[in-house]
Amino acid sequence: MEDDWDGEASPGYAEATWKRAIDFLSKHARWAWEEYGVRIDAPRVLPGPDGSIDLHWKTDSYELLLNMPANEAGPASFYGDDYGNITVKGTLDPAAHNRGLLMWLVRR
Amino acid sequence: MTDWPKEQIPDEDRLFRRAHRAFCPNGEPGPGIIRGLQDGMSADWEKHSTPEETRQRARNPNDNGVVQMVVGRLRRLPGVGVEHAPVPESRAHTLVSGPGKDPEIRLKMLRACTWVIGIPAVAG
Repeated sequence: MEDDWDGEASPGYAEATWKRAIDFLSKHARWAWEEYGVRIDAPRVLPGPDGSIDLHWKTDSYELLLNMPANEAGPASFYGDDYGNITVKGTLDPAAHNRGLLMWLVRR
Repeated sequence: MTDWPKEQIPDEDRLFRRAHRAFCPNGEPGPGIIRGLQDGMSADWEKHSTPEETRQRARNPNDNGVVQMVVGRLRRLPGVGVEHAPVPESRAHTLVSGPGKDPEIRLKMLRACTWVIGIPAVAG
């Protein structure tokens, strides 16, 4: 999508940003299957703020938002909870495997 | 055009915000509707706007639904402020400020949103 595609001055989206989000997701889905035999839930892949891409998981037992920035050098940021007191929050290198986030997705 | 006076918005009042269909797959509001917090996310105060008036201010109203948020619920989120910021074109204009792209704030703010006008069906 190009700049101002919504008439609200939202910037456009680069395919590279989307690809980083998809690569991150597929890498962790494959890791979850190969190491734990678990199929992680599929998130919605959505346009985020400032040309970023959101990965949004929402189930009956948890909700998790991970934002992949448009800046290739920037970390992704995430927050999730079980609608109660169990939460996970932080930043990560999208190019690397993140065991902490994987554990969250596998155990949900 | 008139310079409208700035007013105090009570916690129990609602704000209306447009939600473009691109951020709302399958008709459900997505986290992308919460953006621009660092510079102030625009919304309309119900005292000076109806939901339909908010929708009609879009460049393409038919691509937008409208969500509502209770002001007090937003203000209870860490670092979030709600200030009436009228502009000549809109007395209802309000700014919601908060910690930039914090996914926790975006998610909790999304949970505060409910549809008041759904996304129109695409003609076809």
